[in-house]
Amino acid sequence: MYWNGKMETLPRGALEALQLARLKETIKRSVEAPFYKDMGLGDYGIDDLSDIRKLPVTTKQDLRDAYPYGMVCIPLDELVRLHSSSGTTGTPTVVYHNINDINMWTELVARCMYMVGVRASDVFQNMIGYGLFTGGLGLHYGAERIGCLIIPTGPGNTKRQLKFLKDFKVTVIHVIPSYALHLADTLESMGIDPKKELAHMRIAIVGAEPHSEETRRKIEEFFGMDAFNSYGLSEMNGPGVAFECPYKNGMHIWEDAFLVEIVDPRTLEPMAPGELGELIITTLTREAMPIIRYRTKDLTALIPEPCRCGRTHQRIKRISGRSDDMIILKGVNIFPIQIEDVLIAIEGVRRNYQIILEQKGHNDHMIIRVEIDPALFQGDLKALEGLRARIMRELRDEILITPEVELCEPGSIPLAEGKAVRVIDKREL
Amino acid sequence: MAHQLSLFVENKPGKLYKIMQAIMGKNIDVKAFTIASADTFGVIKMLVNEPVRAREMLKEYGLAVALEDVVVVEFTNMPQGMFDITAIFAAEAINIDHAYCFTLGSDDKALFVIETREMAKITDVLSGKGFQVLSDAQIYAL
Repeated sequence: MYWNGKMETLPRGALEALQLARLKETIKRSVEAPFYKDMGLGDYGIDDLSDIRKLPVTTKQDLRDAYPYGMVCIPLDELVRLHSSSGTTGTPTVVYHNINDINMWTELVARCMYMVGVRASDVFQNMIGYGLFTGGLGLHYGAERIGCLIIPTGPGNTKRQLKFLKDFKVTVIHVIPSYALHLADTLESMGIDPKKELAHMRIAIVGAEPHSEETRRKIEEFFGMDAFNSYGLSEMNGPGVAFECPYKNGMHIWEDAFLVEIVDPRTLEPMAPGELGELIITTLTREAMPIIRYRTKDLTALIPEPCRCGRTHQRIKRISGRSDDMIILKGVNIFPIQIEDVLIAIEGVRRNYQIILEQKGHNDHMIIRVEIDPALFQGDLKALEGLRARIMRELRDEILITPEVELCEPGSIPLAEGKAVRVIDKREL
Repeated sequence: MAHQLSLFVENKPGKLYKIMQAIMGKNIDVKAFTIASADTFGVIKMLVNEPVRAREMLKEYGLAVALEDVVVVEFTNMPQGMFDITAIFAAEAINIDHAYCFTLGSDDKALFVIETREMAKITDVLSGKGFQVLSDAQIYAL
């Protein structure tokens, strides 16, 4: 039942001793990176895991500022792979790996997949994007390590996905929640009951997008399979950071690889065990690019009680939100500032805008409402349609998703007093 | 040369009412209007007396409004008059961007309001064929 029984059930005392040793090692290694070099990280005196709080945090902006190689602490010729974040503002955030990093990432993903019941005999259809995005390749390597037959379809082309599911008698899928629901809709409209005709499907690994218990329940009921929640972020490799066990009550975060803190996002003071706060992660095994106290901006809480599955690694709860204004749509990370930058550069619209996120059927989509500039209004409907098409095109180039654009009357959008007001999320998570 | 107002509005109930509120009781006479919509928004074109003054009122009301040049030509005897005008446009290869027609009073006089990129040409051609191209003042004197 364990991929790496010794590590997954390591007693807390030994696990924490290992963490401390690896933390010291990580600090020693990190100072070789130009970004960390002059911070004096070696002088803080780390005698205990709680001493991590003495160290400065690292933010997404830091990673951007360090672009391209400022966070790398090994000779560049030892690097074997990089992944870059999706839909970022201008400068991407890039994470680099040497071969040991890839191996460790693969080990963590294999643990996750084995934990939920994936075995060498499984046929695994990976419906998540390959390429710069970490989701596809991350699970691919893990499944390959376990010995599955992998069908690397990536996302989209629903007809072919369904054909493969059936013809290859797929047993495990990796999918974003909205696409799983879209598949369900498609099957339903074709009159196919997957519980009968796709009865071989038994496990869905659901990741890359926040989703609710309700969505999980729908996926499980419709397909007649178990669905498991996966948590990861590209800065921490990607998938494989935390994963549900068969008890589906929180996600085990692999503490031999990640040192976890939950803090108050305003003060960075630690929250009491079990309280909701921002997740901060320090890499403990990363060689090419260690990251010290990374602010994930994801809000969650630790579940300090031991889990019935016997794993000693703590669990985190389902991510309940963000401490910044990042939007996650179709697996792509989007910041309102990106939309703002596009709109500001377009003549004919004003700066006031709103972002509305809704579900249409099972598809999440984005509506951008923006006021037209009365001073530049020429009275021509065709020009307005052209303006709208141009905004859609330019937004699509920036955020990789095509939003709907609604042109609004001047003064009709309430002036935003805080960032959050601009984003209206009507999705049921 | 005559003028029409062109207003940007969201495609929602109550928008025409909002426009009427802006000009009601201020001696603005609306002779005709049309609505063209593109899904969530649209453009309303209005022929009014005193278009410049009306534009200021609508602007003050927070609306996006533009003043556009239009050719307004008078004709009688539907459908013969319409037939004659459209025959001229066809022969002269004049393309129209937007247009509307309306009749005036109880006699068989009608006005044809035309937006085109060839304003000067259309005015010359129509005048040359004996049609009367009206100014704002002439429209409201009718």
